Amino acid sequence: MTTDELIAALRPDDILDETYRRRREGDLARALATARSRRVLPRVRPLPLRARLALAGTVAAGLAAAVAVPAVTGTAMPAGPGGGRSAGQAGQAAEVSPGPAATPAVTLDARSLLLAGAERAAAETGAEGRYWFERTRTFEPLESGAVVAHSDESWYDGRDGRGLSNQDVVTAFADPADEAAWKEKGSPPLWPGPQRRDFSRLALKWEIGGRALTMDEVRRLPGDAGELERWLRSAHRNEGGGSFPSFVFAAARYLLSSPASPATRAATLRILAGQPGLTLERGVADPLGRTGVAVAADGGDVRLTVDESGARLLAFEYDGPDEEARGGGRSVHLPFRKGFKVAYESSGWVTAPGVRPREE
Amino acid sequence: MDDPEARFTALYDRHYRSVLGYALLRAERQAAEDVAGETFLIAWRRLDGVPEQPLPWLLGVARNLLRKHHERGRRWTTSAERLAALLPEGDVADEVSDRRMALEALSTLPEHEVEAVILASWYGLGPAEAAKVAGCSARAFSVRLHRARRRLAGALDLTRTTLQEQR
Repeated sequence: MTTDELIAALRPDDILDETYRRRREGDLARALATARSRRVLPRVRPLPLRARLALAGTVAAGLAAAVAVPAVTGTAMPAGPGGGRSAGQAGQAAEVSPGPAATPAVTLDARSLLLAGAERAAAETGAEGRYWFERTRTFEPLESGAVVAHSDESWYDGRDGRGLSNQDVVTAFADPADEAAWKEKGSPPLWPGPQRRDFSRLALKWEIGGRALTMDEVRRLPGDAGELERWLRSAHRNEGGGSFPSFVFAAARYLLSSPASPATRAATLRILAGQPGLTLERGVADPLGRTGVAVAADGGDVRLTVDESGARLLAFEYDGPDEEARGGGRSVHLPFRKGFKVAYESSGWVTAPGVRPREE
Repeated sequence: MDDPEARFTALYDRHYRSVLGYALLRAERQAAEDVAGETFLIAWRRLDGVPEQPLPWLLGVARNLLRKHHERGRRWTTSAERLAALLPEGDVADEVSDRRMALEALSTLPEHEVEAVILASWYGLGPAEAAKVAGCSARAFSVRLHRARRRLAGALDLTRTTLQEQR
């Protein structure tokens, strides 16, 4: 490497990408709302100030660095703002040795469903390929009233990888007035376009509560429910704020979509099953229209949709108040807005970047 | 592209990261974001005056804003220290990583030389353009860059050797 190349490698691209995505809408709106030398532009209605809410630790888990990656989009990664990297267990679930019943047993309550899912998850095969792959479709509510959907894929082996972010961006509006206002401005793009990022020597962290884990550490998490719960309680204490059940719900999203071992994922489902006041709703459509079962903590802001077997995470939905952005330096907490959703399309171990698990 | 809004949006999309990267060398993260946002606000107000090669102009605006920021009495931290805080953790922990070596070498340079190598290597600016940002003549900038590269190469050799001996 020449000295210039060495210096070029010091540019904090992850942070630049993440900040660009996070600030773009607000910066553009703020600028365009001001008069340009003499000429006063007709403005659409003023943007509401972002609600400043102290969040009672609802969703503390977030994938810090990964953001970058696939992002980001993030660093490398593509994660969209708020996305975090996560994906479901599609790839692995597909490899499950077909159990005795192709049709899942009928279960009556959330607890039994999750326990059945745990049994099934524990029977899955472990890592085969070298790269952890995940594909998600994220739905991000924006300040302008738009909801932007984008797909992100990432491959990571603990050090090197690839992120394909912001693919198939679709912008939709719940309120026709917001849409009309947007069209009046000439339908400006509200989200960055597709991006590919190959990266190497990058330490991505899965951040759960007050803990940040490397991929190896995620894979070494306890497979015993009691031990994992003790670990989660300590991560919860480090993070501070919020009830343990709601923390578990947020953390489960990351654990179930992470490269954790089948035993750890099963333990996660068992811990979820043990939380008080679980509610269950059958026949729910996830953001991609797949039918599943929605499980929520009583009064919680987070809903997880799992498949009928209870073993595979289909979607995460946040329905609480808009969160406030916080963080800085190396780790960034991506705030959720009400209505934020992630559908876990596929994940699993593959041999190389660009390779996707066989579809089910 | 006659539509000013489209022109401005394209300017932002193309150059936001570059402006922020520059601001991060001289300000904490939040302040750097504010400076980058303010830079583009000014660009919007003066859109008709933004030159055809907008990046040196944008960086110059950011530099002025950063100077005001410093005048408000913030503690001075070197660019190398700021960069170190922004790198992925694993990288800095990895004792022989290229980034760590580059950082250690960079930290031996005076600030104006750090700026010179960064304007050249991050942004690929030529002496005339970079000089506008740095506020000196093109000739002075070339001399500065030359010195910076020489010093950096020397420091890198030293760092490499030292780190390998420590293993």
